[in-house]
Amino acid sequence: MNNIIKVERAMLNITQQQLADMVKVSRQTINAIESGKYTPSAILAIKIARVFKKPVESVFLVE
Amino acid sequence: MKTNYLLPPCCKILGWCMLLPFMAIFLLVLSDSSYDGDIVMKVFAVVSDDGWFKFIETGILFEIGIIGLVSSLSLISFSREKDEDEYIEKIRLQSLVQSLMISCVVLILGTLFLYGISFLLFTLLNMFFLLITFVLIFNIRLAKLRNSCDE
Repeated sequence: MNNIIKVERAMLNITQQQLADMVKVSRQTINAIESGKYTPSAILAIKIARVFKKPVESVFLVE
Repeated sequence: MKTNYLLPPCCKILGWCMLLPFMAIFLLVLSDSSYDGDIVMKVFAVVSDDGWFKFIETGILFEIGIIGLVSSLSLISFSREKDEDEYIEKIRLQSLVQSLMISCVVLILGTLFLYGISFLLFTLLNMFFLLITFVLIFNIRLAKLRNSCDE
């Protein structure tokens, strides 16, 4: 599963730490999701998509 | 989602503090079974050399060492991280599976290649092997995770 979190973060001008605080996880988790090492749970994916005000399927792309 | 089956993070510090003294007691008694400083007292034994359900007089330092060691390793293993989230939960689960697999392999190898007193000693040490392997694997993976995070 790919994602465009890094791009969306850049557009909102927020750091990994800020995004992590918003969705209440650690910065390491955001880093792992961004680098594709970890696929988040549905709840976390929805929370992240809500921050970017986009549908989940446009932030997380199933190959 | 909250993980409510884990202990609070402060228990981990308590576990690390307890580990060294109890490990020292355990190794001391293990290396010298007739240790002079043993605490002798009357204890209730379900099964002993004298029969079933009897009070017997015995040294309890070894028992203190084992209980203390298991307790401290359990406190370290089953305490929540301060920043515990679903990714750390996943690492915890993977580490537990890996340590269980390693433990099973070691048990099989020990059974195949160790005999006599060596096997008895091996079974004694094997009690702690799963917990020690889990603590090692989990903490190494956690340290790697925390070190490898670059923006």
